Amino acid sequence: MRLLIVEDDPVLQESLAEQLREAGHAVDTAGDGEEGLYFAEEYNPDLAIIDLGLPVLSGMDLIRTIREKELGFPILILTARDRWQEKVDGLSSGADDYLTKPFQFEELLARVNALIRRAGGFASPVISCGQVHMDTVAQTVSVNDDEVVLTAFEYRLLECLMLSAGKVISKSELTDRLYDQDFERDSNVIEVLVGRLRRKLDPDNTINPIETLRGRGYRFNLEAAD
Amino acid sequence: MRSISRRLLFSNTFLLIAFLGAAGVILDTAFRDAGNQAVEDLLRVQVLTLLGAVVEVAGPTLVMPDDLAEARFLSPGSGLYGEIIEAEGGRVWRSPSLLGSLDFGGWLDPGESYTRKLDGPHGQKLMALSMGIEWEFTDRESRQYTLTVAQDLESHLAQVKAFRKMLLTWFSGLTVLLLIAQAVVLRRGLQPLRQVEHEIAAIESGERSELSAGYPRELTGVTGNLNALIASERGRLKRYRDTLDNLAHSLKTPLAASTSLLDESESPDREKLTRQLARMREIVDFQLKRASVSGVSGLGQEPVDVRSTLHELREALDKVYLHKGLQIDLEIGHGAKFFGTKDDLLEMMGNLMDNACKWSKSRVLVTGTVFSGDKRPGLVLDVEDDGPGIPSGKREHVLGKGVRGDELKPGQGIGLAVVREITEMYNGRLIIDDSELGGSKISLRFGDLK
Repeated sequence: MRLLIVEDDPVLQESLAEQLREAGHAVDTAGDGEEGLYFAEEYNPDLAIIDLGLPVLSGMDLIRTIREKELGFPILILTARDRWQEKVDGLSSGADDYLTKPFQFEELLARVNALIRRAGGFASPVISCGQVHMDTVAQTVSVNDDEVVLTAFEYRLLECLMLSAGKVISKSELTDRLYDQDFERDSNVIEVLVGRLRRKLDPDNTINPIETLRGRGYRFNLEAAD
Repeated sequence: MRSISRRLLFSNTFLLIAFLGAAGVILDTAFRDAGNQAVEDLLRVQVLTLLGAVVEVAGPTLVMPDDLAEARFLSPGSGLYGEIIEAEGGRVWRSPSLLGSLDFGGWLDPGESYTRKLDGPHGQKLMALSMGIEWEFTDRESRQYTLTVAQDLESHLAQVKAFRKMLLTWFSGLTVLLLIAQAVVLRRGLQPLRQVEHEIAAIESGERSELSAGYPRELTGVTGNLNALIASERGRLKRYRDTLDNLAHSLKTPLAASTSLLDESESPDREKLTRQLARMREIVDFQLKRASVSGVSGLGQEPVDVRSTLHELREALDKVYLHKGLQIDLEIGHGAKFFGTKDDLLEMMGNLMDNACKWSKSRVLVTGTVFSGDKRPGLVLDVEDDGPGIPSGKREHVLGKGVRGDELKPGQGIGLAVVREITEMYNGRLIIDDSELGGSKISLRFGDLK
């Protein structure tokens, strides 16, 4: 998933970005509100992590502007002030969840995953489409109760497809969500990955989970369970 | 005497009564003196009338003719009596009007005269004028006489009495009227002071934010200064909170960065350091939160509408706990007000409702009940959930009683301890109980029963 971090503390920003990348996300970082707004409009990320105490454009104003521009991705607020008034203000301005500084990275990752899932319409941490079940906490995938071993990238790709089950996702959109902005875009990589996923999920070609739409992209064809 | 109006009323009433009383006494004395003088003048005229009426006869001596111009000397019991005595003590004449005896007084040398009061033959009050004269007869012989005329004072005394009665009636009426007028004037004059008193009470109870404008010139200095004081107090509180907020921000961002760096590191001390950082975070949280609680309804602080504040909070929590599909019910009595800051109310209820959402399975119920309190309406806020509840043995512990901020263990949580602190600063109470929903019920109670 493509994430945007807007945090003015360079150490925290860098460390968070690093760990989120390790967790398999593509991460853009911004050091102030204005830059954050630029990235939000330019890349329309799957989720933004926004610190409330930002220079130039405050976190609260950034959230309001994002919502005014009708960008609907989930927003997680980071706040050091830890006052309910601020949390309530942030949430009513358009954020979806909050996390008080300092925090454990595991907590942040859990919230990020939960928000992304929620945005895809899945409430439970186990995403199910047809016979394919993905446990986003344990990060495991099973088909007909048999576990399928996936690489981190294959897992992220499947997550992207399943969270948008029934919808067409273009190759470039997938690249955007899986890789950072400085990644050299080579659509062959996605094709190769999709091919590998198909073989792992459906070795006998019976359920056909991923459909290729020529010139348009891919679609996860199994119906979402919840 | 603490009240200005009472003080003024008492002293004015005293002055008024003293003034009117003194005026009454002076008028009465003047009237009586004038009356006495008039009687005395009349008596003098009567003496001269008698002198004009006497006739010289051979002897030589004086005799009074039977026929007198003043008929009252002749008519018995008329109230006007006369007597003439000569030097040798012999009585020359006594008016026939006198029945019974009367001591007209002694001898006076020629040229002397004096007036006095005496009791009449029937006990009535008389006023008498005696005058000593020397009468020169036609044969050049002269003899000395003392003439005394006494007049009944009854009609004069009746006049004095009537005058006194009238004086008393008028002055009493006047006193009552003046007292009423004075009370009205005092009331009107002190009205602005009473208004200040009412408005200050309203500010204290949080119904007003400042004193109104349009006070009389003599009070605008005081009211203006009071308003300035209230504004500066409010500004000071805000600056203080902003400073604490900035302090929290500047402490916690590096803490977050350190935690995050540690998460990445593979140091063997990672666990220990993480625990230390978590402890630092809790101490910072606890102490800063405690310090930023205002705890009292600051001067000019308008009370907070509980219903709208908790609705805001519920909307926020609905978002955060969307994945749990919770039912958060608010049952807040109409007109429920929290006499404090919105920040503090949000801090308490935010922590309680967040905890309830965290632990509940499907339902959180928040009720707000208003009761009539001692000085202003009291408020009970209950937060219930259907979670596992808090065992009675652990209740003291979760409230952090007897635990200093720096003794908090990582993960112990400061939520309830902070709520308890804030509640107590508002002289409220926090009670943990079991809920009928199955989980815990935490009640905050503010205000005393009437």
